Amino acid sequence: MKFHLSKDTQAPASDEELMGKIIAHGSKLAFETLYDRYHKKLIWFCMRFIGSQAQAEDIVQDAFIKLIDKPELFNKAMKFSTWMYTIVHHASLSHIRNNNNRARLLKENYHPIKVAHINSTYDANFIQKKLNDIYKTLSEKEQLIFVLRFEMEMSMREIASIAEIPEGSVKSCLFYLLKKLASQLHTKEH
Amino acid sequence: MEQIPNIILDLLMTKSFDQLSASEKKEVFQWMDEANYKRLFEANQLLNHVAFNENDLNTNAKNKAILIEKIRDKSRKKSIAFYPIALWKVAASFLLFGNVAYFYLHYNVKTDQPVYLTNTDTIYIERANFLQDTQTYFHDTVGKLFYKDDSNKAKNHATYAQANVYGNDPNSETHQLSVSDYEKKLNNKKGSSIKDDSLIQTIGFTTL
Repeated sequence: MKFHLSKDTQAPASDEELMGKIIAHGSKLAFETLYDRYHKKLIWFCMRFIGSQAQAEDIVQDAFIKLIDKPELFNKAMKFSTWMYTIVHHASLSHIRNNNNRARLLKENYHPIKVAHINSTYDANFIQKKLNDIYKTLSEKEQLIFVLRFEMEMSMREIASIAEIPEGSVKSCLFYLLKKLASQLHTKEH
Repeated sequence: MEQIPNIILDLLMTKSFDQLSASEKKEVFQWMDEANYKRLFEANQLLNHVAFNENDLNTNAKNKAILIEKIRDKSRKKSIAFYPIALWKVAASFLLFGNVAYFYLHYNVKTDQPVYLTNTDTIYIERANFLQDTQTYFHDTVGKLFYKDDSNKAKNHATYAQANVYGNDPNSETHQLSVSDYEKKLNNKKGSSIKDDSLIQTIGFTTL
């Protein structure tokens, strides 16, 4: 079900407008809309760091419970998505600190990066393999930036806010990724 | 990690080499050649095809139901009946309401009907006549009428007294008496009656 701002405009309400309704009167409909928009993305994002889907679901569930219990803590200076991803990212980091099985879980539950609708001279499977090879060599911070940028399709500013690094560092990291991928593709060509 | 101006990365993410303006190409050439730019641009295009497909992920549907129930409970509690309010605010509201009610009831009683407070059997009134400077008449059954705003303060608000005049008044008609007539020395009581003494009233007899 879509949540509309008004009958006249029929424009979907923004995340921040929906949060306003949750803060004001605990709107069930607004919450449901936000949940539907984000819960799978957040679980996927979390899975990328902790490896286990069940644990990722628990972490995201806790984040939504916090949203229900204390919606007034929503930082209005942030976009809702940035705020929510930051909460889940912190929870994931905290979970990792208390979990010695992370490496094993990540290896056992690795979810390959997928590409869609490639309209180029390259084979989609080849690109996918290259990307997964590159991804596995990235540092934790670089993986975070990769996931946020290319899987979650976030802006540089949002990534900088969630990763808690300057925007310039995000851009440098992306440039590094581009160079790495370009280099791998170039190697194949020759 | 290599530091590169933001402008170059922005160009790589938005424009192919052929779309660059002369000044942009000049900027790019400070950092890389045309072939390199094209390779990086292509890599970025490929990365943009990375996609997360929500349908690939099956999640526990019960989690949503739990959360919906939780927010429903919370919004129910948020209704006015459950609205948290400080105890001092409740006390202050009662106090304020009590005060307003007290002042309204105490000072806002209006009575248009006169209150008949006092009967006096005999009263002397001085009236001027043509034979003497003053003449005293004897009257019977004098009532003193009060108009009051507040029953507790009736005595202070007496405005006039009215008497039905009988006896040796030759004109034998109703006269208007002023309060001053009633209170003149001429009408002072001779001695004190114990008729209204509370003890006598309690015991129930009036003769000692």
